[in-house]
Amino acid sequence: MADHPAACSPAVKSLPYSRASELATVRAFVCHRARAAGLSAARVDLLALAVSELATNTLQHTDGGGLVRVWAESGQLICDVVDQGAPRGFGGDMPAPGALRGRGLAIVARICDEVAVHADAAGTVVRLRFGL
Amino acid sequence: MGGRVAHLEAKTSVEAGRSVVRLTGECDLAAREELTSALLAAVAGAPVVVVDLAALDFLDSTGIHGLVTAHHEALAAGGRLYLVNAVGPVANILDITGVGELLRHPADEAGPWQR
Repeated sequence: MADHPAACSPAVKSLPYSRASELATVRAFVCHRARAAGLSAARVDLLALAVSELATNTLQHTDGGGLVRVWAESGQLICDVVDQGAPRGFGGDMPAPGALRGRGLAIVARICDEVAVHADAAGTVVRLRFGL
Repeated sequence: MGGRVAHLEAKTSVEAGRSVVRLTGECDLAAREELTSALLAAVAGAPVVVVDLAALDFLDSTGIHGLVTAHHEALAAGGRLYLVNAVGPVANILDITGVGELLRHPADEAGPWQR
């Protein structure tokens, strides 16, 4: 995946998004930061997918946008996706292959080492963790 | 901010009574309508549609939705839609969701439609 220069400056700690056309930039941003933190290439791809699913969820199910931030801490790559949506549940099964909808959060739960949701002053925070 | 817009290209050709749709680029929410309209046009144009994913770099649940929608359209019309040549992250999400198996081409890797 190509990097977008503005999204990949080390000075940029978080990236807001509010339109579907920004999803590619959001993926480039988290990929760049995760690679820099030492996450393996295959798991960088999984992170990009998880973040894309969550940001898509923001755009489809809330009135506004959100933001993503990524950092490494204690041997883990941590990525927050923050929006104004209601807290989501991640316990659902993967829908049947022929089902039209409902895969996004099930995919996130499947591919991340850990997914947690909490509410804080900024909104609803979905925190993804990958072991480094 | 200036975003790097994901670009999806869908090129359809009709070969020996089947539509072959070759997807290139990234398939996310921004490309959903383009994907769905290309697939539905292909389904309307031939009883068998083969979607070639060799040059697709990214696919998420929005793209899966388009593929499964077109699959149901094809079945309703008495036809079929198959996926071929998925690699890397695209093959991975098709595997995780079971959609790769659902839409597997009967000849699988060899792809007789290419011969």
